[in-house]
Amino acid sequence: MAHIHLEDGSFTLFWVALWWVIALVVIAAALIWVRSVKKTDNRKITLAAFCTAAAFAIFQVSIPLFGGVHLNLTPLIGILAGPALGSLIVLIINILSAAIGHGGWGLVGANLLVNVTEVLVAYVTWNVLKRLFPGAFARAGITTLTGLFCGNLAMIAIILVSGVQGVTQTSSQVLAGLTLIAGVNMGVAVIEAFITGMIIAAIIKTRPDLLEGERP
Amino acid sequence: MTTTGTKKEIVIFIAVVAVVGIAALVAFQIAGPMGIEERFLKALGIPHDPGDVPGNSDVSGFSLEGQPLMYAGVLCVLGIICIAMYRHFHF
Repeated sequence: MAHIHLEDGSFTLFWVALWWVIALVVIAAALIWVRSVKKTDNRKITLAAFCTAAAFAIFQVSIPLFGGVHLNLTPLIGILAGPALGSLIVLIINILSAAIGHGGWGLVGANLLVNVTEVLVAYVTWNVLKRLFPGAFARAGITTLTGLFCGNLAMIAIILVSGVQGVTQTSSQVLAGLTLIAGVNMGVAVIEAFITGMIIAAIIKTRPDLLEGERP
Repeated sequence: MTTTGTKKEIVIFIAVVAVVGIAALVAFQIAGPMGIEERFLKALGIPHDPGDVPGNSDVSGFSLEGQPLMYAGVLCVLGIICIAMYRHFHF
């Protein structure tokens, strides 16, 4: 559940603009990819819509664990919708979240890159593990842990590279603090791994046609 | 494909979960119980004060926090961009 929970003004305008530009390039690539498909499967679009609604809702629910955390469902999005549609889904989620004060507007670009990392890594891991882990539950669980771990790495890298205004700590102190956040986040990732595993296992059992190349 | 997986797969998954879970508990013990935003501020060494927005005093930073009109404005602009793109590309 990596998400940069800082307010607007934390990054300088230069870094806000830079992360936004990179995020827009990613979104443009996703749009070109989606448009290159002659006829997008309507089931995929419906699935993407459900993923958006479910992920946005769960994004706002604070779980009273580790002092208050929330789930992301980004690896589930990566598995179900793929990286192209998944990037568009996390864009919508981040914009709507910023609109209700969950993360700053200026950080939407950076947060989008963190979430796209999770989606992309989850998508790749899910497909790479196909031979090693034929079972859906364990494969989805490990996929989720991998995706969220990489999302945390992206979050740490973005904050370290950008720097935060008003911070007097050294880079190593900030790194130590962010590593602790990532560690706590991975505790939540364990819960998310079980949830994603159960959802994917249920989908493969009941509607395997929703997942490309999978059969019960 | 099985939905749950073989015994070996489950054992590997549980082992990974155990390692990650222990690491998370250690991290939580060090960090202590606090909210998400508070945890971020503590990690960065910024004093937690609801009225204090980091970077507000810096001319190169900006803040939309707590300004509903600015939020509405940005949301309107994004909406207009979406409509324009939708019409242009005929999704």
